[in-house]
Amino acid sequence: MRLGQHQDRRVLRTVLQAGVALIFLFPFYWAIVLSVAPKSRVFTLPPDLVPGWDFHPWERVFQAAPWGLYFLHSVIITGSTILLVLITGASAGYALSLPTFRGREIIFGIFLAALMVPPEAILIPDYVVAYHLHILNSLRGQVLPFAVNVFAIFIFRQFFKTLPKELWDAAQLDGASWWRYLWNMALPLSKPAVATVSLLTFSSQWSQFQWPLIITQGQAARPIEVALSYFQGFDGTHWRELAAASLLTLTPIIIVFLFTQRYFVVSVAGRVDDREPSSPMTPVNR
Amino acid sequence: MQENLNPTWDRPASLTRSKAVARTLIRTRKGATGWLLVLPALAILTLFTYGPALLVVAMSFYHWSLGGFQDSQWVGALHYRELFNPVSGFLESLSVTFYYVGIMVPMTIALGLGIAWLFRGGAHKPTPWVTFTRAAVFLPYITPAIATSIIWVFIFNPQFGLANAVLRLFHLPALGWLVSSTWALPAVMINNLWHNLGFTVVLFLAGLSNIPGDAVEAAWLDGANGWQTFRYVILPYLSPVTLMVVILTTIQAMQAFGSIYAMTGGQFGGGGGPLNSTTTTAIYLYKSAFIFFHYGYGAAVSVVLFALLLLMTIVQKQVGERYTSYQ
Amino acid sequence: MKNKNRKSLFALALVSGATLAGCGTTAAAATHNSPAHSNGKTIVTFWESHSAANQQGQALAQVVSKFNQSHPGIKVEVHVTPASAKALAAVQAGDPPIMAMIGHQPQYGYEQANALVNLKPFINGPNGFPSQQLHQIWPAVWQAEFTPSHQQYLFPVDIKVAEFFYNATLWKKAGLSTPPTTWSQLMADAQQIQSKTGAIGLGARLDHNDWLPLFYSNGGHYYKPGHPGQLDLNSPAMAQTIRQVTARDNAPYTKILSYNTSFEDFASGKLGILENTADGYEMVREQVGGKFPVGVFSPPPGSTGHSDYLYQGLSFVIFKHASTAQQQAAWSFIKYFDSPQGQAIWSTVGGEPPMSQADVASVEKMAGSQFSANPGPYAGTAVAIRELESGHVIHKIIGPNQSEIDTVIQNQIQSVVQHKETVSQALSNMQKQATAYLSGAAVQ
Repeated sequence: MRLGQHQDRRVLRTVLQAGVALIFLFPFYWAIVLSVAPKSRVFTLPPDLVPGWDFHPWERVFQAAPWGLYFLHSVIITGSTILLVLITGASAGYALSLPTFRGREIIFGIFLAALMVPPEAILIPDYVVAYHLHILNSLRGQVLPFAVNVFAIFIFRQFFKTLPKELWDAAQLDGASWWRYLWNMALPLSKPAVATVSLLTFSSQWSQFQWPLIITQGQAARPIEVALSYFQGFDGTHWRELAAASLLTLTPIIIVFLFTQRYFVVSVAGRVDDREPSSPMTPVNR
Repeated sequence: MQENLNPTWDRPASLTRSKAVARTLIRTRKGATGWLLVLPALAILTLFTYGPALLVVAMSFYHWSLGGFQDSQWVGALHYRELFNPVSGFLESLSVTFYYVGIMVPMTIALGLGIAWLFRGGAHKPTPWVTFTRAAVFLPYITPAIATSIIWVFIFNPQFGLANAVLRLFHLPALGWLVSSTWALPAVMINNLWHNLGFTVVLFLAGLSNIPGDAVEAAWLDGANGWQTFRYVILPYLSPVTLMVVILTTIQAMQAFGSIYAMTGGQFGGGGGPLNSTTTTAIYLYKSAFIFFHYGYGAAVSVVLFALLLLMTIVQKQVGERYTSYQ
Repeated sequence: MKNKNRKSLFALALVSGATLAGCGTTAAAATHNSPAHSNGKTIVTFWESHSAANQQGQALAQVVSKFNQSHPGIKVEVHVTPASAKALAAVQAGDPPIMAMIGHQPQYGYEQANALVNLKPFINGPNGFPSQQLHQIWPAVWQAEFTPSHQQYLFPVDIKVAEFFYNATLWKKAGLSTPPTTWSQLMADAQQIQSKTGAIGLGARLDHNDWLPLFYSNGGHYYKPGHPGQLDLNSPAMAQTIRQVTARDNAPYTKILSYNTSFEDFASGKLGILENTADGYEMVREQVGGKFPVGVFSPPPGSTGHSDYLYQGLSFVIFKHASTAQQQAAWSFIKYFDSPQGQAIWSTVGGEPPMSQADVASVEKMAGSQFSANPGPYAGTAVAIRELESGHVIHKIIGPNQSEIDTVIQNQIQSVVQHKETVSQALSNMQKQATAYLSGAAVQ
């Protein structure tokens, strides 16, 4: 009898888990259904939940705007940001892990202070800075402010600290420069850190909205999120097309997530153990 | 003598000189390399974080013009006086923000902990089912809020949306949602809960997995019931995570922008409607500076937001630490 | 040693630089919102905000392609952008387009930034409009293109006047035959539709515009006549307006809709009458997709005995930073767009009324025999033309603080609707708050 109760509980738990997963996945599913719904089936009560496989909305979406261009902008912005975050993060993280680096306590404190500044609060002065650097309405303007992530620095610092001291001694004996030690030995051993930083930067940068909304004006440097938002504004009456356009924006990140979801989750969870002060950078989607 | 210790480092003669260089570098380094390595990060942070954090305070005392200080007009505390003039709408935006934060934080903790509890265990040898369901919960968090919010606009359509279909199913009256000044903010909350819960769940799952099994077992053996075990064994273990979730959710909620913008027609005048019912301080700040182009006034809003966030974080930490036990 | 450090720094800088250059190459080519030439053609970048997927966007695309074909030296490039706000940011960043379509209200920001070309020399110049043609532009539309200090930066394109759409099938089912001619009849009709068919009687919009025509048709004014700068909101006309709006919004047969979802609600066949503007007619018809005929009628008259139709819309502007050749090319496009030929396409494909009495004939010709059918494919345009011909069209330009004052009025009216205030409280509050804005006591 006890066993039966136990079984019942397990079934109940599985059902509840399925229910929760369903709730979280449902909006994505509904977007797919809407984007391929025949016109007559969009406005039905209760809502029609079976896809109708009518691809006209997709055709119309692709006619409505140069999505390829916007997509390319987003790819370039995200790609170069990841690269720069890796470079700045690895080099600064390496410096902070060096026992011979005298200023490292001070620098560490300075980096910590950056985490205390909420991005929303410096939105306006950042715009002023971007104006004076002549990077408004450019791809560069969407990369540079995000080229450093203090979390990336901390992740690399933690990682380099765990590398065996013998490795460093051997490198010194061999007469290798810090640069070669970092590039040829430390970095290849830090693939998990590189992966974590890349994934976190990818997801936050692909989801970037407010900053590009503010600094881009024409379509010259417009990323896909801003384009999507304008499409919603000017064509908010066409549900099927809107659903298609939002799926266009969602697809790349969902694909990346499908292949890397375990690392993603570990990357986020890893922050609990850091015991570093919480970061305003953490909310990826603003 | 030191050559060829590591065969992979064997390089052609052209590199010998740079090796010699490197050796000198190591011998003479007194932290110079360190400074050099942190320089790019420091430079960019100075430009886009430290500098602006100071600039925003200065800007708030000016009728700011993009040309810089020489084109701007000193107005003293004028902007701050305006903030507290009820007509300016800033105080209203603060009360909307506190309403939003006040609901979001407890809801995030309750639902996050509940879902984490439902998905607990199995982390060591994840079955495909565990992997799949957890990924499903986490997925919204990494997607662009602007894209998913569009889907939520459909869901909250008063006529054909799913939200009202569900209400009708339970014979409840249908709501206006985004066209109602009462229900627009709750609609935004539901969207953002859905979007951000995955993050909290992951944090709580990590917290739960840190609880040693024998601590729970000992409690059971001592005759504690389910609630007592939860209250006196599990909750104390989770207190550091909970404190972190409180702080992060507050920070997140105070700065929510994209979802509100997308759900309340931001493309037409910046969003925040109907009737300012979703004008949080973040939306108010955006509109001041980038719809009405009052940069100086917007800077004053930013400074107050900055101070509030700092204050809330400190208070939460102070109060929280008192009830937090680090095992 | 210093030298080596510099070398390492150089290496780092090189890597970062290369990355930036990678994104820089596209950026550098694209940063300029207004390239001057391409293949020997003068390029005119034109920011406008009609989606390429809807009727106005398609009409515009047709006019642009006809223009580009007939003007081999010019290429107009349309970029769909929320120009009213974004072009001003682009001006501040020193990188505006050549021309744009912006609203009336935003022009003050542009004027302050000294960003717009004064159009008078173009209008009166050799390639301009003869004065008898200018006289035929709808008077209210033409007046709206001037600032209070009589500067002209705007030239009309996109003319929206208020209209009501009705579902002719539901209408017939409810036993109605002629459109209502008074507000009380409109309310009674909406009630009858709801009780006879079960559909919602009237869908009203929640925005700044629906109270204003009522206010004017009740004899109201923003300012005391003869006292410019002195607001006159605490008036019997406003009191009556508030009562009308309150009665309408709180009626069981009225539903408040947001602009975007109102089209779908109407297309579902579950809404009898929809409050809208002329440009929405084509969009509504497209959404309905022939499921039922859609009729149009004008807002009924107020206590003055006539209706007042609010004109809003977007206008062409040319930016000062453009070269002389670009300015001239942009002007030729404006002239082409506002020629009878361009207006015929704009009105029949885009569903908006033409900008001048002189264009009506060519619109009718292109539309053919169905022009005056109501319900019919051009009913929205035909009714809008009649409204414009009546002369009772108002434009809402009173000055730079317009949107703040409108927000105050709108919020006070809503407070009464929601039973938070009495009518007289709302009247005195809106007068007080709006005056505070006007005097500059409040920034926003």
